[in-house]
Amino acid sequence: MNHSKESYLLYLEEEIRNTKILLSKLNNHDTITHYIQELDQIEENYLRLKSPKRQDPSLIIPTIVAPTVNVPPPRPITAPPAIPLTSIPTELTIPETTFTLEELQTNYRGLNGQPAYVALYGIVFDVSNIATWGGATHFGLLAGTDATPGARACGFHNPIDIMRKMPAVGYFERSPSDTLGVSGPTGPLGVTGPLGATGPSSVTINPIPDVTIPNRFFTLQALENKYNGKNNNPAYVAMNGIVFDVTNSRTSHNSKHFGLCSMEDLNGAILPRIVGKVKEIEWEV
Amino acid sequence: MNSEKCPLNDSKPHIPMNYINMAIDNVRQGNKPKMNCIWLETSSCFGEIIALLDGEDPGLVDLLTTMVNMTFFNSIMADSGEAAYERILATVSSDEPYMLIVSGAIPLKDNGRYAVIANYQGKTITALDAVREFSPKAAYIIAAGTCTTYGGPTAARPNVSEAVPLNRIIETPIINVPGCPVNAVWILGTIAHIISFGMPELDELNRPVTFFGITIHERCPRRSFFDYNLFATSFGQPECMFKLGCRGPITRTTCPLTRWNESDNWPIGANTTCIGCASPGFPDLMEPFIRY
Repeated sequence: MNHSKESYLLYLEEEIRNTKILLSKLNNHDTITHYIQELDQIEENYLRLKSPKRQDPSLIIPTIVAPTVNVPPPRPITAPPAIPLTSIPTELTIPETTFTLEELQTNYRGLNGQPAYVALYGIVFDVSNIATWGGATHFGLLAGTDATPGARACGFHNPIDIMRKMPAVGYFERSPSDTLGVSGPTGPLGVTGPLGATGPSSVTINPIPDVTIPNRFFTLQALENKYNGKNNNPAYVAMNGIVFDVTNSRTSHNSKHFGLCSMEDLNGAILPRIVGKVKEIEWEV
Repeated sequence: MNSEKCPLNDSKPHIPMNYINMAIDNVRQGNKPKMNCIWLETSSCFGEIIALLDGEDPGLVDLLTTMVNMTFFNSIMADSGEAAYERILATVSSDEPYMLIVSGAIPLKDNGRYAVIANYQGKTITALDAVREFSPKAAYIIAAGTCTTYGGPTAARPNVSEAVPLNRIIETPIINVPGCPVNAVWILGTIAHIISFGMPELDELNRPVTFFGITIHERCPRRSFFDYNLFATSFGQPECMFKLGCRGPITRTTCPLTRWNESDNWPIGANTTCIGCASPGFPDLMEPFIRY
């Protein structure tokens, strides 16, 4: 512990010296301010550590201790496999394969090394490496089943939403007695018209799900002035040429979503609620 | 996170501790008033209290002696019976602002008779009565623990007492601090923020962003195993436990940083999966906890 503390103090001293040398050579104002703040932080840490008044956990020096846990011998690793992020589809396509419920239940439950497939709105998705499907389960839904009723209860009504998050592997072949599927009641999406000709061209879904865009057009100026989410205005945002209503979207807060603001033209994000299309000229608002 | 070289990395996990210490200093120096506080335990397992007792310095002693003027605390206070209940009445009827912390769900069946907190002048005071009566005047209401926030194990199937979370009873804004039990750092951090700066920044589920901003998965020490598709197939293996049913990717807490039992350890560190105890729908929607 003492040895570690001393070496840490030495390290801090060296860091203070180095930062001071660096500061004497800098010209840019912002960079200098940044390093002065950093220097203050280091010096403060150094002084407090040298004469600690009260036990402060931020000053406890981590000691290097050999792990005492009996770790089993590592299994042989041949080559690092691809990062699963690459398996998330960029093009929304569905392979021409069909799965029956029996097949899913026998071979795709995600147990004993099996892949985990789940049927949603007539499409079968591979959830084997989707982080939110730990143990091939997700909020009470199980892989190897048709989880459409559960997804509908959660407010997921749009297969494109789901396809942006996990790869589709085929179609689900329903038995005649099964009444669930894409033709169910429309949910809170509130869409009213057919899918426009200018919709995303890479979407090749068959049958076309309940995704429709009302025949309204917005300019960027109109979005900025009237649909910015401020003063009780609705919050609309344009993505890929389509305008979405994010007023009540749970993932946006104060009309912002991970740093994206409403009233801006954004490309590539999840779809909350479709409102209309964005156009160069103001047609109808 | 443990870097010998970078002091910033070492300080990051302790940001909550810094502002808890700041609140303690503020109260000691007289910069901030010591607010009255009522900790009401309703229908729960008292895990919140155990976790608080296991808190690191600052812990329960700092809470009781320095941070707030605790006027009622079922498990810990010396008074009992009507004398104890009169302390609540005195706090509520005084003009000073007070903080109401509720830990536990509120049973509704038979007019709430499944959780009785006092018998006063021949009248049975249920948790339902108490929450309805004491919440409107409270300056801040904190829901401590998953039972209070979402219903949790108390309201899990078959929910014989028809228990509901606190936000189903009252309409006053609530600061939700879930966790089963709630970590001492999270609850003390929230109280400390109120003392020094007032209302903390909350997310869409009214949880303080400091503690419930990002998922366990994002800060998990086993994250690199997940990124390279290296999964544990049974317990005791060092890889990512995603295939065993880990709920880290859907649970938003700072467990990897604050940890438990004097910041000693936490589920992943003890080679078991996260069971999503701070998530909405725990435990029913988080089941099965283990699957392989």
